Amino acid sequence: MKLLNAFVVAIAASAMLSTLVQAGEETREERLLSSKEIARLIDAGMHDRITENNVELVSAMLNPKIGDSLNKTLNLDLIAEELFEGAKPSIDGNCYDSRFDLKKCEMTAGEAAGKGAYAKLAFASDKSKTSLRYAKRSDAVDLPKPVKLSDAEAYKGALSLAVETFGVSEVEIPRAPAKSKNPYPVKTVNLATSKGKGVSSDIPVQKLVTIQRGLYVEKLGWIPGPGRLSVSFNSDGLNAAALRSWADMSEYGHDIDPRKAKSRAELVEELTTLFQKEGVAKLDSARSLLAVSLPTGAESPIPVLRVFASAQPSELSEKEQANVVSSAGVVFEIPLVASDDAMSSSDDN
Amino acid sequence: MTLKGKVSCTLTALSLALCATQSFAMEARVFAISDFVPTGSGGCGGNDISHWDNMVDEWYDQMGSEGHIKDGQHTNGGMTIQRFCDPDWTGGCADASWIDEADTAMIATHGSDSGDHWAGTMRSRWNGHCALDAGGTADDMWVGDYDLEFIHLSSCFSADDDNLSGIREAMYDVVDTPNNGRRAHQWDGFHGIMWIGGSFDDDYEDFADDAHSISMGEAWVSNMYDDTVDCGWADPFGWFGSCQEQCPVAYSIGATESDALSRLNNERYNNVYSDPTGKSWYAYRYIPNCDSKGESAFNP
Repeated sequence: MKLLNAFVVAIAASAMLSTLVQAGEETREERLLSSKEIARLIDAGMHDRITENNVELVSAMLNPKIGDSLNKTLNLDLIAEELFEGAKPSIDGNCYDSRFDLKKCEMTAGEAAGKGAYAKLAFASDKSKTSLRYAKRSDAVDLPKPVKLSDAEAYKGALSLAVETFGVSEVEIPRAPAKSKNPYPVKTVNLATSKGKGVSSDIPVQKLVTIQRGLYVEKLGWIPGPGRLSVSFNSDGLNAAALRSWADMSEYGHDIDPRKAKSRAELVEELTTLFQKEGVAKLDSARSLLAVSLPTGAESPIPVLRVFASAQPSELSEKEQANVVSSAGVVFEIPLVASDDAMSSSDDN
Repeated sequence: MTLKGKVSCTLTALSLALCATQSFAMEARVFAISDFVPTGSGGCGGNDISHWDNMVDEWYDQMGSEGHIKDGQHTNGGMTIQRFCDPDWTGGCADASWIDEADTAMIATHGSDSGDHWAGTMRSRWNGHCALDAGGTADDMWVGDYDLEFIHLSSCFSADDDNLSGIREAMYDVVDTPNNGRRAHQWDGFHGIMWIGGSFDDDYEDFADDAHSISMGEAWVSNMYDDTVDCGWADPFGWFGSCQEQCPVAYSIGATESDALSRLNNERYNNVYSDPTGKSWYAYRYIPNCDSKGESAFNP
């Protein structure tokens, strides 16, 4: 009997090994969580400030410091004058006529195709949000020159563009406190070359500034707001800028009742259901934070809980990477306040 | 394959400037998996992410708005490696009817770092394979030898710092390329984990738009970079280092160093060079020390 058992075990082991060897991906670990485990992870990633009674929290979020609306402060002629450096661009679309709900146009200088210099400014604005995008290229002859700006200089340039040119309110640009690890939201972009062994050349060619809109809330501090700005500088100076979905805050909170704020248990349950409905079963962490966001199709922003669902730990060694079936990270947002028409939770706007 | 009007030329030091720049309607295709098949049901597994195909469709739709041909939007269904692998690797592979039939293509699926290359998760097994292994020592994927110029990967680990040297191995065919001279031009991907959500939709649309005004490489890196993912409660702006980053990488190949660099710095959807004449060199646009989830900081 012992011999038979040993034989059976050997056969089973051999079959398993054969299966493992058959395709490398099958040696990777897959661990599916139960709904209880998912709920526990969501709860663990939720700050203690979220309690069973979030009325006060939501009330505070509904009264942030808000600057003047871009609908009042944005001057497209001024922007065009500065970005096209006095040249008169061609205009296509409706830039100015506010009889229409949507103003949308493009201003261009140069030929889009080919190798020559070119600049484009795209503008779109309706009642709920404004977007601006600018891109400029020089004649495509030379290989890139190194960018010489410091992070501080790039940040200062981006702020000036945002406030003085685009009309963004300074009140909505969050400033890093003293002793921050990352005081400037600036990254250097490099171009590098190689033949395969080591790096042959590595040139810093751009400074990329990304400014997340912020809203200052009493007792909470700065929280992310609906809108994002990015500005790039290369060796020739400003070469790209994008003001993305900068939502109008004029009507924010007018039809939101903080007394309908969801409790912590409700939020955990709603997120757990959402994750399961989505098919997210492999999860390592689900960190969350407060934000104000403009859902797709909505006219006005709302206070939300933003959740980052990740199936991977923060750092994986190369060996660990080869043994894990990876899943992309997902960002979800759910309203902090229950609505009368039972708005369903979904991914963010 | 439709007539494209490409200029073929022999690359010499003087003719580099003359070889380039055709502007024509590109055939764009998108391949997305948002609904994965559980291993228990005989599939390849992976978290479902319902918004993924919507997100990459923003690129596809914008390409149409720019005047290109929307040549195929393939979501879920029979997504196996058969659509991406080359028959010179295994008979039955049909990349020339799928990904390599396009001029520019985006793939959206879960990705892994499989040693020295990227591996994309498929829905179902084909010929014993759940993963599309591309680059490095892998042989599944050889694109560019038929038609493809630009490949964009909305996929984790698709351009890891330790796999850069091997990406070019997926951008030509060891059998066909020596005869027809065709190779892919650029590969755009991510170091480590990438993220999905409605707030990233604009990134994909703007990438397609910007890549007609500024170089494709710059458009990819500038639009896909994000510094405030997975932030801690008390640090939503990343001031104290709690956030992870999303780290895009744009990559090109060339016969010489200046060729690879010029392509990365200048090529756009409306400024398409002729196919590279070699892959001895590669160039990449990246953010030094970009620190994504699931990986260490970018440092090749």
